[in-house]
Amino acid sequence: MSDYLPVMLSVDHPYPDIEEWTAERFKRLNGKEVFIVRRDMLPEAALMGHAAYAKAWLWDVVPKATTRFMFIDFDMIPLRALPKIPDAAFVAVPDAQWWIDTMKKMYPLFARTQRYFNSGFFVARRDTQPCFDHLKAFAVGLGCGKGPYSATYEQTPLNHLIQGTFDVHWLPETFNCMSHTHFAEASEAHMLHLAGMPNRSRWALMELFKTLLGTEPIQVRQQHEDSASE
Amino acid sequence: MAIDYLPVMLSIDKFPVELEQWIASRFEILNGRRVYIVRDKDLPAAARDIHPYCLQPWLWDVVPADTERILHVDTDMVPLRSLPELPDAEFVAAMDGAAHSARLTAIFPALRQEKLTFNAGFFVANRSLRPAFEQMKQFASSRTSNDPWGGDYLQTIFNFLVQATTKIAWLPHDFNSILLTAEPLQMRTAIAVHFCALPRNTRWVVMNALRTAIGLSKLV
Repeated sequence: MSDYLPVMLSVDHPYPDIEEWTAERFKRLNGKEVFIVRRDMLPEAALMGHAAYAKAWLWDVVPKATTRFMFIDFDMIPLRALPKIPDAAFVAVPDAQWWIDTMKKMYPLFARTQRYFNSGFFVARRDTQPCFDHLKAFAVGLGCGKGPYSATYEQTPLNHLIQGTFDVHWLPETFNCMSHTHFAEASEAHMLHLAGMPNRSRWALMELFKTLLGTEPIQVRQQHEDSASE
Repeated sequence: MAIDYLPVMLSIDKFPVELEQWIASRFEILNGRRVYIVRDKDLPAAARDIHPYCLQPWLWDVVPADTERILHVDTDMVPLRSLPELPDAEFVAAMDGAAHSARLTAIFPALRQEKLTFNAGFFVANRSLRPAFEQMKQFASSRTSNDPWGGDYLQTIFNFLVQATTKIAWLPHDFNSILLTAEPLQMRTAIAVHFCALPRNTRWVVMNALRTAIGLSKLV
């Protein structure tokens, strides 16, 4: 079974029209309605710590019949239609290499696997639910404190839990093109991730793409550019 | 009658060539003028060791000698729409973000008359202002790695010198819409979007994504 439910976490989005556009654009490109998780759908425990940990409760809020979901961060722009996602327990994209190298130095598991995913985009099958339940326990225990993973919030514990349990299926960086690193991949990106940008620029940039692209697919422009530069 | 000008871009600091060409091509398609690109090799010897963000004072040294007016566009500025007609003034620039202008005018009394400052990524300057550019060279040459102007390189000095010399014709933010400080809604009407002050890699990645998304298409 390779179907999936696209899911976005939106706790108090400051620009609802940008959030709606992201979901609409994803739907137009991929033919799937995005399931948006809002504050009132989450249990109280999910809202007590840092917002990033709320994704630990995703299996609790998606429809019960969901066997697989695709998590899409609030700061991702769908640019192109996604190719078919392989059927695996957990599918993700490697983070920026410089960050993987940092994580490898800090944590023996990642030094062994040589891998570390960015948790802004992943596809999880129902059998990963125990890992998410474990992450919930960790988030609740952590409360509002920073804990041992202060630099990455839920991302490193999720990597630990998933990579310690499953063989992750790795996708190329075009599926989660990090705006701080992936220059070459940006021209072929399926999803552009505005990670690490100041919030104001992030919203402005999303509004810019919204204004320029709407929900239309990106056209092949190379020919146009070539003829214009002659 | 529309004013005449030479669009100029300083392509320095290892800027990716495909982005440079895209910016120049977009400008040309939108405004019907070929952009004059200045590269490291075009700079006079005196400018070779100058910080790449402080080379604007040498613009008059590198453009063709018969150029009467230049329109400077930063390489990290994406033209989105055609420029409306520009005012015929010695110096034309867009208002910087309100918070930034307020901070500078609070610090520097010399800027209080206008109560506005411009971002130096986009401006139109007449040759009659060349003395101000010559004076700015001295600041660029004496500048060390410690920037006394709070990280804006020559921008504040440039504001001092121009505002002390002539009356600026101010344009709205849309002419130089700075992503870092703009409200999202401003993006709907931006004539050019400026990626200044973002980390260099982020700037390039985002511009590359934008390049493949909109290419050279004209926007209304």
